[in-house]
Amino acid sequence: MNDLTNAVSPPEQAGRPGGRIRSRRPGRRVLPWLPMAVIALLTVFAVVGPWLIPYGESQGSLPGRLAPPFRTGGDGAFHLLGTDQLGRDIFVRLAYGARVSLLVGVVGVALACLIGTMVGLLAGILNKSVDAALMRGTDVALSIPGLLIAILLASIFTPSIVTVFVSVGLLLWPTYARLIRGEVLVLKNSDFVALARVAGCSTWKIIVRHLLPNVLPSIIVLATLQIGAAVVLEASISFLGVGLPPNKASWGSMIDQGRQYMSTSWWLTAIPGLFIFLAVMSFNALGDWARVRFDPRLEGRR
Amino acid sequence: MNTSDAAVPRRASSSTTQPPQGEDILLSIHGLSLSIDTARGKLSILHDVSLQLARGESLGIVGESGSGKSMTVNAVLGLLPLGARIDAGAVVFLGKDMGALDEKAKRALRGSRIGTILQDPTASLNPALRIGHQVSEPLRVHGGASVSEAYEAAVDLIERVGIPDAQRRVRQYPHQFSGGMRQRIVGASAISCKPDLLIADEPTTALDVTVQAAYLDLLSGLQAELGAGLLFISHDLGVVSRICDRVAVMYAGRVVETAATRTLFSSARHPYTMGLVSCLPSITEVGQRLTPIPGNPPDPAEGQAGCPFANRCPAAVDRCASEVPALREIAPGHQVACHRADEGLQTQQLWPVTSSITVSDRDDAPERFARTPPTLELSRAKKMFTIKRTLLGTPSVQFCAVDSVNLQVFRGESVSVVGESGSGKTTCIRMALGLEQPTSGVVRFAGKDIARLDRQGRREYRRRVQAVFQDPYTSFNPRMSIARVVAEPLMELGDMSRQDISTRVDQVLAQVGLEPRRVRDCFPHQLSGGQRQRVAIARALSTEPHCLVLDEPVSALDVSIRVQILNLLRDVQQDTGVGILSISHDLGAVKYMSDRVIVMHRGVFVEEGTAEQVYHRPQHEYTQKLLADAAAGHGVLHAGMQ
Repeated sequence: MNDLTNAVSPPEQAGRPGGRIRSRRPGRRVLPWLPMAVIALLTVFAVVGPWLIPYGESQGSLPGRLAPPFRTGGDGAFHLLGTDQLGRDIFVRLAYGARVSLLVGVVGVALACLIGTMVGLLAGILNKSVDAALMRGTDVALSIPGLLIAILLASIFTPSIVTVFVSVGLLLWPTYARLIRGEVLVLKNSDFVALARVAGCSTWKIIVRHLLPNVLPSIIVLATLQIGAAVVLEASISFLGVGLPPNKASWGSMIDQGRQYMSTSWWLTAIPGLFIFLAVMSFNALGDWARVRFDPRLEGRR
Repeated sequence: MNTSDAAVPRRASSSTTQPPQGEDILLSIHGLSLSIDTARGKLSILHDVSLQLARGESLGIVGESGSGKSMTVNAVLGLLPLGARIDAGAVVFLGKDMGALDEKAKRALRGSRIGTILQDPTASLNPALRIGHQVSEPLRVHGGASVSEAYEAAVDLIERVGIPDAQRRVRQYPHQFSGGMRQRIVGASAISCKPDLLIADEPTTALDVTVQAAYLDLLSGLQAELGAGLLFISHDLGVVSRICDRVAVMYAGRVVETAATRTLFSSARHPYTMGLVSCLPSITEVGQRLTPIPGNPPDPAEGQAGCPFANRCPAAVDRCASEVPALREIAPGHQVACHRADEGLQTQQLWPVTSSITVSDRDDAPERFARTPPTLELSRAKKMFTIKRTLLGTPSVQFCAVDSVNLQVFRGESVSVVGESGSGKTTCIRMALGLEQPTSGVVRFAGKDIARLDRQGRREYRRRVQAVFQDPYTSFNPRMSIARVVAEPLMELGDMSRQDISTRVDQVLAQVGLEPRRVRDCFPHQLSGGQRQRVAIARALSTEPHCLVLDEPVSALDVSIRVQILNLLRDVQQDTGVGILSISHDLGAVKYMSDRVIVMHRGVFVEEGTAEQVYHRPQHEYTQKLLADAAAGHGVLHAGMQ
């Protein structure tokens, strides 16, 4: 049996994170710094942006309306990114909007994640009747028009940013539940879960130790993709009067309000659109990086 | 094995044993070297592989996983994975250099002149299409047949591969056929265009023992009928010996020996080939002990200077570590790549079969514990599965997987349940492990019904009964380090400190022949299959169990690793007196490690006795058939060894 001890040649690459061997794809090296930097910049912009320019969030001037970026408007004032249909400064509104949109994106999606993952895990691992009950619940949630839920919430609670969080969470969770349940159904029949049962693990331990870490990558990918959806959803919710008052800026509502001027004044929609694009891309790249970074199987491939 | 003699010599003696010459050559591979670009760098997969196949000849390629046998086939088919590059050499098929052809020409050749049969018939067939459609697909694509012509041809083809009632069955879907039938259908599709070359990549590995032999017969029948060449890939020397005229043994991307099948078994010259031949547990008698090939195949990422087998070879000399031996001809048609090929090395010297464990030694082991109640007991255990339910939810169609079986496992003894897939053996052990509740009857641990254990009893049950499963690739949570995997059962019991658990983990890792310091912090994917199976055994041993339940513990491993693990299990049992309940379809492995053997068929135990009795004096008809089929599958092997 002695000769077998030297049979073991586990790899040396199981070393420091970061790996010795780098991928040939140059883009990977920039990760995660580029998306992190973009997110950090957007956050700083949200915090200090409003003070950089001497205009208020809903301070408009009709003579200076629809001024293009880098031009002086009809009222003689200079607007870095132009003005909207009410003559409000777009730069300032973007900064105020960043506060709302980033918060809704992160908190709303986190909430959806939490509900959806919990429902998915329980439906997958518990017995058939629980599964059936939870999944029919999910189907019902999917079949009720989302905005109906938002209106319902609005009639119960006073509109605020919290109702926006809750509505986004309630609208987006069924996707997670579906995804997670499917993965759990496969995982729970795998040998390592059976062996955990033989070792005496409780269902709770199996969920926490064996299932959750293995479904996490899918959760991360879906969550980062849904941040964009949440930002846009906020606009619809606010439009219905469930969320923020219309004079409050958010990226979603800026796009929404600028839509009818799209043919003549592109910047009303294009600029907030670009910001949503930047935020979603960054979160997604970060999520993708995190998924690879924390998967031991992909060690050395980064 | 007298039963096998009649079926055996047909192939090996009637066909040419010379390598093909001149115009006969159908396929020739010249000095093929191939590498793959991966994130870990450039890996050399094939080194200077040369093979020749004549019309009407069958050539077997034998090797372990990673030996390059599948990559060789991929190169022949022109289906290389992304990043793979041919560095040198060429594949010449029907006089054409495959490397020089464009994709369209290659596709035409593949579909019409080459028929391919892969390992898993379920994956090879599209579940959504009728089999008639699939069988005749090559005819429609390459042969330009019309739909009605193709349909006629499909009926004919399905009849030819031995499926009765072809008129009706062409209209059926793959799920309506058994595994063996499906593989026949894949065969029918492969021969539909009357190819010149048949490639079969492990075609019987996924099939039951009882249908393997018949499938091999069918395959060689089809080959003879077509006059085609057959390239047969397998890890199983026994299977190859039944169907092939010549065998090429591959190791670490090189051909190390080629010879006529009979020569290979009677007078192999390469130590690796000798090791493989002697490593087959099926040829041992009860109580004998085999010498396994130590270690693991080399990692292609590590460049090697000398013979790739040198570090595992008992006959290695200094020269082997520095100089790669060339493949040279030592007798007509017999090529070996070994520096010491001419020295007359003997299998028995290199890989001795000893009888360190005698039957009588083992017999007294169970008696030491016989006064205690059996560690595990199934008593009239029955398991029904519901297939269909009525509208009200009451079962309308049920399937009886296990029908009232009685089984006892005492400490210190090794009991094996043998049966084909679907015989109910897996359900048996799932009930024993408490993963499945019996429909009626009881499962007892140390005399107590496991369904009625109190908290304390339940802990004791979990401590004393541990399991090792078949597939070392799915048995571990990919996100847990080896140390955590091994520690999990101890952590769950919760009566040891972290420090003690850590010490115990090192102890059991060492016990299974791993070096604790080096593997502790690895993740499962960083270990080889054999190493993982050792980890699985270490985990099972960590709680000092009284009974190990093993689900096909070696069937997913390479041939040279199997004996290592089987020996390990035997040693562990000797040292700790643990009882072993294992299930297997591999009669050889069962014979090698069992005191008692139970044969299971369609949910019932049809025969039960000592290994000696069951193998030498089988009483039940089914046992006799099982043994005969297994022996037939290993035709020349048995004849050659005698």
